Amino acid sequence: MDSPFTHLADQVTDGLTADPELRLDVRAEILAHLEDAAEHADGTTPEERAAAAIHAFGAPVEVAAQLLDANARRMAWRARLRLLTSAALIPLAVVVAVALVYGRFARAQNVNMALTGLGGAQSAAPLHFPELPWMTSSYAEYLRRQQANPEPVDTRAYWEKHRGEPESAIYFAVYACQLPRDREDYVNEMRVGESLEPENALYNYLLAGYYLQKAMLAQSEQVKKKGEALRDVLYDARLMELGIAEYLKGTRKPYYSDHSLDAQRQRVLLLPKPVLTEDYLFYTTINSTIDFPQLAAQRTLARKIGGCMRLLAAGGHADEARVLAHAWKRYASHLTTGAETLIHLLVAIACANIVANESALLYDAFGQEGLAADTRRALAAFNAPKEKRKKDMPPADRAYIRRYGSLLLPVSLPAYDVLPSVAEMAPARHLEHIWLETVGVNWLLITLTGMLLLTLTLAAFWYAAARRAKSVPFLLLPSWRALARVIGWGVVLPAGSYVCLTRLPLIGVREYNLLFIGPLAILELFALLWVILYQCHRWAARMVHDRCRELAVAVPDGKEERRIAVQAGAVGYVGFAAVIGLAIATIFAQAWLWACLSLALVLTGILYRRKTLALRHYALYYGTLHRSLAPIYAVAIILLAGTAQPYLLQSERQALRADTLLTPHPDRGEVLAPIEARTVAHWKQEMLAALEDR
Amino acid sequence: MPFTADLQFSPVETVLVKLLHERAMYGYEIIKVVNDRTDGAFQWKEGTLYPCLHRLETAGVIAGEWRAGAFGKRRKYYALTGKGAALVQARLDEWAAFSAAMDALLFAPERGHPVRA
Repeated sequence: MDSPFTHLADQVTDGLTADPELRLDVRAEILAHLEDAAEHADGTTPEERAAAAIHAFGAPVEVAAQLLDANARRMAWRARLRLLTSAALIPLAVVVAVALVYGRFARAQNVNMALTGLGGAQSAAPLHFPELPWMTSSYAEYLRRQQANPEPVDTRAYWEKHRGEPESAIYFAVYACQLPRDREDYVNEMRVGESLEPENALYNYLLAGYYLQKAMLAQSEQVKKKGEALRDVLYDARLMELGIAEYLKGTRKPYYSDHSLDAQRQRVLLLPKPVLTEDYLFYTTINSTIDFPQLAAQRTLARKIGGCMRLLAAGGHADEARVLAHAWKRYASHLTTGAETLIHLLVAIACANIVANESALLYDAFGQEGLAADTRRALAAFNAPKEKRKKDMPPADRAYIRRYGSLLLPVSLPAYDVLPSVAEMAPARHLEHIWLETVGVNWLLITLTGMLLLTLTLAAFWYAAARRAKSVPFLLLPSWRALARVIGWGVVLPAGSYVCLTRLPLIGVREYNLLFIGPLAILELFALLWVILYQCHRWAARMVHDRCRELAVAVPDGKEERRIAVQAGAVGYVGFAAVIGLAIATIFAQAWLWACLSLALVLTGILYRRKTLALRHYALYYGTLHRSLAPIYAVAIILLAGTAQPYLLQSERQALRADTLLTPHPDRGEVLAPIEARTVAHWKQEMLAALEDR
Repeated sequence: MPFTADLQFSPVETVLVKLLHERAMYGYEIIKVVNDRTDGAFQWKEGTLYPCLHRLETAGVIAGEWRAGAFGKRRKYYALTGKGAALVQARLDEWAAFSAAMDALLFAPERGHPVRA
């Protein structure tokens, strides 16, 4: 019910309409003053006392002018502050949250696409590779994993362009390995390669494979049919002779290298410098997507050499067959020395086994049991590193890895007989934890952004209802103390408690091992998210409620407010869920789902509108509440993005720099995960020692 | 001594700063205190008080806060801020100098004109 002073208070504050909060504040102050004045005024009835108070107040127009003059400066800077909040703070928070979350999402998507590209599958969309002037379209597509390999013509053009450079031999080796054998100029091209690197056996082995493919078919290359004995088939004796000559020429050369890792090293230099975990994962993933056509060629060559031995022996060329058999160690040694990745090493073992077993069988056939036994002994020693790893990891070692290693380590630890130290394993384990927390913070940022947009949408509904009640919801400008209370209780305290719990040694420093505390860490992050959302809303709502009461705005009592909150909140959150569902439906391109959710969203809107109209006497309060909650969420987003994100990013970079097991560091010339490089080096040492002993 | 322009026209701000230095008060209370202490010589009006209070609030000299009074009635109390507290003595000194100057101007014997018997 209006007081007798309402009209006067409205008149006096008429000039302050541009700042609804200030106007309500001054109006409430004038009303309180008039009520006090009426209490002490002369008169026998309340009406007389009220009239006396109004009379003593003076001319309202004059007072209004003086109040406007006194508040003009304050209104100006408050208007600027509101504009800054609405036009800068809220958009800034949304942009910051979306940019940070999308940044990580896009990086993860790159890894996903690179993984999809494994096995030559087509990527769904181009990755963000740099476009360099020299790149032909097919090479760029290759880098983006849109095709399995670059066209050989492009690779050769690249070599031509860099012919004078020291690395040019690398580019030609890549080209030679990819060159299809049905090319007419195959032999000439191999000779070009040989002239570039006369001491590299690569081109001789490739040429041997080329000749022998046309010359014969080894029995081990055929599929055995029931009741049919497999036989080596000779098509062209001259070509077989040429193939054997190239093979033997190769085995006499000082080294063998297909330069695949060198090429990969060159290739990854084209990529942006890796910074975050996803970059390194991407970096490692694209290293895993390289095709090695030369490895398949080596296996075929090994099978054909076995066939050649048998064909030579059967043709009465025992000496030539023995020469081939004796060469197995040089061949195995070449492949082993040239292997820089595990896949190369495994192929070297397979090829060495084929030729060594064929050699031993040949010695048996010639009655040279001693040589056969020597060959088998050498082969067993050569195979020993791999055979050892066929056995299960000892339980103590397994427990050690589980206790101190990261989740990824068992996957990436083939050389488990050389266990890394606890200190070596710590950074990767720490990194996993940081990554989980980063995902948690990103999730929180995007949820807060969703809440911000939701609260602005709800404010619009209440605004429409308030207009019917002839009032205008406003953006409340809280005092710094009130704002600090909301942010302190809502964000700083929960996040600070979490940080203290997980980071401060005196309180409860966290053992970073997701295997043991992963579920707990996820639960903690969930709890943190819930507490932040709940506390922000609770304290902000309390602040707005108190302020609205000060301003004499109609506010529901506690019980009524709870009932309205439950009803309106339920409708609001159904709408929010529908929006999220729409986003998901759009991603998965489900038209029926999209239609259902759109309908749900429209129905939610209609329901909410009806509710707001029914409660229009509180619309000024609810409109102001929702309007004022948005900047609170914005401040929370910016605060989290400005503190937790840099801290986590810094920790992530530190852990990545410190990790010497799983993270390849391109600036140190590393292409493989260091643990793989270490494994390869360790195996090679043992395998080469086995070949030299005999 | 140069005086603030306001002081030459109205001592209201100085009075407000002094009164609020004593304790936090709301508008009607200030008017009552002024009237009481001056035995009704000063009859301040709302049009005099509130614009001045708001000016001082905008300048950061005083800060308003809504509080519930003895019978639960909510009123806006004004109190000096740190900036305002630092200003009190200066304002009182200024007023003493202004008052002395006014006394000298209004009540000192005239110079340059001999007093006639």
